[in-house]
Amino acid sequence: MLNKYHLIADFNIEPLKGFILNLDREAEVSISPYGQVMQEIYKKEVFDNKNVILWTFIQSVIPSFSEVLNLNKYSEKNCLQEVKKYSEAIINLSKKQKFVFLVSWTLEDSISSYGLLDWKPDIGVSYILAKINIYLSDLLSKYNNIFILNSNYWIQNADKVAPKIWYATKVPYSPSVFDNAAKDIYSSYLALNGLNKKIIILDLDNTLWGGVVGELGIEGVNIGGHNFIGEAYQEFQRALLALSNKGIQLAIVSKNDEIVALEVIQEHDAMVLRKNNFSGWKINWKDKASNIKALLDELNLGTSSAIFIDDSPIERDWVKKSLPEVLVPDWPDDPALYVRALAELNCLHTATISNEDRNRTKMYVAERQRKEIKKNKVSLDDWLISLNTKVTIHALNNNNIKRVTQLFNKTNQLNLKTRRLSEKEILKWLNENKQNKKMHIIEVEDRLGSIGLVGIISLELVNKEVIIEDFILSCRAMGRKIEHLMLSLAYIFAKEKEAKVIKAEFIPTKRNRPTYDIFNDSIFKYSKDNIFLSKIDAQINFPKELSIENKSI
Amino acid sequence: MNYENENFIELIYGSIKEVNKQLAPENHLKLKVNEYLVSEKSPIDSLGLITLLIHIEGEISKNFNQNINLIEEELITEVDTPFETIGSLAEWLKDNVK
Repeated sequence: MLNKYHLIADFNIEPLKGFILNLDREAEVSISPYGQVMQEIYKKEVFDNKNVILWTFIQSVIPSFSEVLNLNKYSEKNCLQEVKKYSEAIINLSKKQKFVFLVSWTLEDSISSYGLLDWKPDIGVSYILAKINIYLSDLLSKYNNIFILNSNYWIQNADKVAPKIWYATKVPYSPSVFDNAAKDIYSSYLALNGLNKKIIILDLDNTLWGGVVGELGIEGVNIGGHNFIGEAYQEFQRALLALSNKGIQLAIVSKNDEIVALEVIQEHDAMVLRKNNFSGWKINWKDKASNIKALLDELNLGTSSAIFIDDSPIERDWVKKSLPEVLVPDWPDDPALYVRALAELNCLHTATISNEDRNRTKMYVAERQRKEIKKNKVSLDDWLISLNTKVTIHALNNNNIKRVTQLFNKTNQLNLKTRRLSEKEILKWLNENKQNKKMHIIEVEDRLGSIGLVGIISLELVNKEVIIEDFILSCRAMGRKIEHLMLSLAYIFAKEKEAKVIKAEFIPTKRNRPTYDIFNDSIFKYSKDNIFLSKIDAQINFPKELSIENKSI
Repeated sequence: MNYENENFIELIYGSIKEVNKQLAPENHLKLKVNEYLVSEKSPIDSLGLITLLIHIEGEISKNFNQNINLIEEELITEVDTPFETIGSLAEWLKDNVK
């Protein structure tokens, strides 16, 4: 279970525990004794592989900062040396923990400053604080299980704490700060566990632009221009585009005439989002829940990965009732509040951003073109051959480990065991009993573009049997014989190692039934207790529709 | 404004709803007049109690423009503390808030 938290603070952090538990009823939260920050960091093996959240006042762990706060002349060098020492303690702590979340340092309201000189080098309080936060971030940047959470976001949108609460209980922040913090932490948990949302499905009229295009025509819709409502819609589109740039897909489900609606998207001068920014759309007069389901099926995404945004409460209610796994947020009536409502969704965190994420929409546009080609081809084999698919097989290396970790933690449907592993745990698995293990990483491209690193198969020889430990394939590569290629790699490894049998244990989840189907439809035989077996007596060839380059040897 | 006991109970319930958000679910206070606030029978600890009382102080200040101090040690710790239950706290507020 990933949602076990341990809180370390130099103030009373009990309210955060309450907010986390109210948000995630399955979480377990423990708290270190009050004010024992450094003692707890240096303790050995006490947190049982939990997510440690470390929230301190800066002066508690960087003693020289007290001089800064007292407006005495301070030594920047001393401050930064202490930051370095603190970072080493954090790195040491992270070796024993699943993840460490540090909360960035901010200034308390009561702290005096130099006013005009506050951002001057060598004297300003804000200047040295910013430098310290950036220096700490740089020192920790290469550690993939350490994250710094931005407390400014929590504090700037929250009430002030009643001073009496601080003096009486040593709780320094108002409940709304802890509420924001808990939501941010929970969203991080979702991202690290592959449960964050992957796609935002949008209505058009009065959602992406003002007015009903069917009545007003392309000239009549309100977007951009010189009025605040039009500007608000345009700003909302910019915010959506930014999310798309970090890998969140956008799609449209709208009751409209498709030709008219697409004309606005392609031709209106003030539109920020264009056709190529959308992974797909269903613009017709059918009910929206059916359209959403059909669209997600086309994109190989589950309903739980989607958010649906619509200005109409009736449409929202219908989708909520029909597809309870789709997140349908209450949406403000005022378009000026759309950007804020989007920012408050708190389920769109990403743990890493890979090239695959940044180019995801482009990949889906290419996928749409592939499907068009498929419609015009007689057979699946013809279609696959026409795509000129090239597969490169890699070993695990420094260049691909981030994406591999992401695939381990984000892939749900084609995932044999759904092992959620950190980078450290993947390397640990591979390096133990190394001579009997193999991990192949699969990269795919075709004539329409790169599909990216999409598959992992990890294998281990145990007592003359080859065990398929992981079989992970991104949905977008499904149905292109990549899965057959991956099973062929298991056969090659088994032959190399003179194994008698290949074994795959399927661990069912709510979402990985397609993996079961792949094994069931292959030459593997279902044995019992979700075990699939195959003997090594057949000649297995790579699928002829794929051209293969093996760089993993 | 002439506040009846029921009005103070509603005011306390409002504060409880806010304070419950920062308490673990097993420590949530129930919205019932005989729910204990003090003693071992109460689901909340001293931090929860103080947070609740300060919230109620804020509500009194907002609604009655009157500053009262509920976290006086004697009030909380005396044997027959007026804060033992939601009902007894509402009674005390009725008598002391003008």
